[in-house]
Amino acid sequence: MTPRTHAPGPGPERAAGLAGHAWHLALGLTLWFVWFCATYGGVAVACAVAPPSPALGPVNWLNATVLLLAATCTSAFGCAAWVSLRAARRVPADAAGAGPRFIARSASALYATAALSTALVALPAMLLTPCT
Amino acid sequence: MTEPAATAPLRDPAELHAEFEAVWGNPKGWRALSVVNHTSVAKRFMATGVVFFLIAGLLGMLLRAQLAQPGQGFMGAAAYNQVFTMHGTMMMFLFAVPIQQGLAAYLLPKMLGARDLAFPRLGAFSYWCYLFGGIIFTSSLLLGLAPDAGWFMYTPLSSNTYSPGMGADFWLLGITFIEISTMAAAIDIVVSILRARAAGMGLHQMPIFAWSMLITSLMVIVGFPPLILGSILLELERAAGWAFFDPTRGGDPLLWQHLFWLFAHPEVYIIFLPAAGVVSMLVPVFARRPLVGYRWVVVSMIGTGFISFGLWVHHMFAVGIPALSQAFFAMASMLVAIPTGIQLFAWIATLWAGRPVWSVPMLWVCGFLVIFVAGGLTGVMLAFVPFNWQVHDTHFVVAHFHYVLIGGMLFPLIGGIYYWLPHISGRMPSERLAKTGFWLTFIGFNGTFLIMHWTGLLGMPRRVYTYDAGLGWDLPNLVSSVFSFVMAFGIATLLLDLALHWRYGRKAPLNPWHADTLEWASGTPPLSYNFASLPRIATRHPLWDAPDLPQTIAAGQHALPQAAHGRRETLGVDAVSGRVREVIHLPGNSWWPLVAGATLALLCLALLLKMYLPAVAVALAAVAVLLRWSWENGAHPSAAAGEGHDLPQGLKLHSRTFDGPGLWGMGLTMLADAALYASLLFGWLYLWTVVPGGQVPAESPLGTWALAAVTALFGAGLWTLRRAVRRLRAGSDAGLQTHLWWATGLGVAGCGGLLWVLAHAALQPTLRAHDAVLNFTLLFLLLHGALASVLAALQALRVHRGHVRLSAPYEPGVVALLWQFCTVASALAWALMALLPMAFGAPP
Repeated sequence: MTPRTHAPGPGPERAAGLAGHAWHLALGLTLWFVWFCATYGGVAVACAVAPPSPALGPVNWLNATVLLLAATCTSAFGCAAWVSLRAARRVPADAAGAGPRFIARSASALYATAALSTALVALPAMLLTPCT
Repeated sequence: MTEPAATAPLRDPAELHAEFEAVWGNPKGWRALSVVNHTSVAKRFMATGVVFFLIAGLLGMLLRAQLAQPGQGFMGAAAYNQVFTMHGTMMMFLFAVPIQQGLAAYLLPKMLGARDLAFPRLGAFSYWCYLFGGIIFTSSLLLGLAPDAGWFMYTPLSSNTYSPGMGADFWLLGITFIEISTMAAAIDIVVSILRARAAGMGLHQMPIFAWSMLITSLMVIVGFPPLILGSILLELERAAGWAFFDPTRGGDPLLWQHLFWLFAHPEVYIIFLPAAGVVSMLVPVFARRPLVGYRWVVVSMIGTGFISFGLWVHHMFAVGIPALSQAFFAMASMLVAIPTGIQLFAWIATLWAGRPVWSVPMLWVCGFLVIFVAGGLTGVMLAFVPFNWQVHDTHFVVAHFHYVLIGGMLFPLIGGIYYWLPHISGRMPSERLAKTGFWLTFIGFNGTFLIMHWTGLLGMPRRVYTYDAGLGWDLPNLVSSVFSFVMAFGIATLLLDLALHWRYGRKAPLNPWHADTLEWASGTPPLSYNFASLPRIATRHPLWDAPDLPQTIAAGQHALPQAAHGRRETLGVDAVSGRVREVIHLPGNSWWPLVAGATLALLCLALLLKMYLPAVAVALAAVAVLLRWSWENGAHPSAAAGEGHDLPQGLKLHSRTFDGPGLWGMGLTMLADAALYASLLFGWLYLWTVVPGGQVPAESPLGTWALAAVTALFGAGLWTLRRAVRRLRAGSDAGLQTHLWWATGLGVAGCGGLLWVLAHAALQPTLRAHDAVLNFTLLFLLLHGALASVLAALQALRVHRGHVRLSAPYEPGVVALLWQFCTVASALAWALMALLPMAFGAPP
């Protein structure tokens, strides 16, 4: 087993890597908004073009698609939250690392917010008929 | 780049002050109209906002007087409609947003350790547009021509058929004019927060108020364009007969509602978040400890900002949208309460963990906590679709939004005004008058609006000018009206206190509340240049950690401690880390902002009076004024005195780099433009999908390849411009002017292509909404293409004059952003309006 060396670690920005970039403060919830509009618009278009039979209730192809997309996006946002949190943990816990750590931790919380928002907003698709 | 020296040789503060005052001081007399200093402009913003607040408040009193008793003949239906429309519109557009932008413009540079905002002239322009737009809009009331279709201007009520007079035009043109002001101020604020801070102040160390204004201003930039677009389309429908919202011609009134609420729901948070930022500033100072959960508060504000864009349909629950779609918005409406709740808990925890001291500002903060929580709870109730249907368009909704807006904005704002008043005036207010004012306002407010929930639950609809006796509404209406006058006395007491304190208030010490943030180091009242030297800040609490900062700053012991060169300058930093990147040179006093604002006001008046030929002439004059203003920029001698050889080692003036604030300003302008264009494309797809029989023909009248050719021409222009920028970056300005002329030529050819399409498409915008949208899109692209071409030509001329060169390479990259927008916009138009119909349009 190779012993660990005590070479100087990378700078705080490099330690956080791409996951520590400030764009992550906006990316998660921007994508959430895109998902939100796509779901709302997509349901409207589907109802105009090929509405599922109301007799099927909430169990139909449209609701299934909404839920599948939501599950995929929730998972992706959840992963992004986890990656950001790991990036925050890689940043040295000193004054120089305070900025990158702040960005990465905040991004993690915001990705988690996006995941929660996606899951909760899509939840009614388990209960409601889509086009009536 | 190296950091500027942390300690400079000690200088005599009086001598230093005289040196700075010679460069930054305001002229007196009529030349005061040319002032661009952020402190002066912001004070004008706030004073004007108070005037509009008083006018709108008086209108509210008239409404309450009319409703005090059943069958009241004080006002007729027509007058009542005008009064409630003007009350709501003025409160939202002329008071709530501008006054908070004014407060931000006053405070932010001081809090962030800068000498001014990034675009002082834009700030002054923003003020003049606000003033002129506000005067034009308010004059409609005096002329008896005020809009009367409600502050939301729903079609068809606001269309020509049901609003044939000038009232709706006053709203559409006047408010759009004021929105120019709001957008300009928002762009100025964002760039200032990101790029003009103290050395070393990272994002994680910014005062919470700066975070709240950053998020709010970005929301303005993205949230206002849908309404600007809607207003332009509705005015085109009213003035030129184009069909957008008329269902008999393929339009849809609900498109207006979507565009309006896409703006108007985020608007609620645009109003609330700055106030929340004020509360987050005040609570730690009076709790005498740092804010608990700084990061959680930031995350909550960002979360609130984004989620607020997913709520707009909850204002449209009664229009017949399917249940599942309504449920999406109901869930999002409930979700947004979570981040707001996190902020509330952070404030309570801060008070809990600290050693709170009572004071007048804290009284208003406590009033805010009580009222806003109540308003938030009724907001969650309204998110439930069945309950929403029950109370839709009743006084319950009126009560709810007054709880949210007055509780969530006015109370914290007044708390903030009391907190920063000693900073602004250098004097302390009267505690006795201030407390009397608070209690009268608090009791009056709750007596008015708590009771109004009951009136609404009893079924009284909004916007009715009178009611019959015996419906159970008599007593609650009378109580509401009586208490509304109590509230008015409260506000009057506050105004009396403010007026008297200027003369009789005792002198304020330098930092009367023992606050932690940097604005209290800029003097009470502040100096025209804020700081004689710019300190390095690496903490969230600079004055708690270094109480001697005011003295060392005044003695010139920090960065840029001289003004003998004649330049107004401040440090430009990296947006995230706060590392110093360059020295931003700021423009001095100028008449251009006033002239530009006045010219646009003339344009607004010409359009109102339907004098379209003079309007074209004034529009051209306005463009000429704006371009002339832009000429005095960058490396122009009047924009940057001296060559900057006196700068700290390794730093350059921003016009000698590739990344000054103008690049960020243009980027944000393009973001706003993109939001407007996205709203237009949404409108196109919406009408196509939703309107019965509105399917788009498979063969587009625009043809298949014409827009592709236009896109190619704009794309070639962009490539040419980018090539010139790449060469500059590589250290060569050979052929720079030629490149810019080539770009101009390609832009002109692209515009020619658009004109050809317009001439050959045989569109009939007055007959079909489909054609109206296509026509508008083509004109939108033409306008942008023409502007891009003119700016490229101006760049070529600036190269010729030496204002753009190898050592001043800043501007072509800024103009390239507009070219990028033109290229992408025309490509999208081609894809969605020419190609997509081929796949999904109706067969011939």
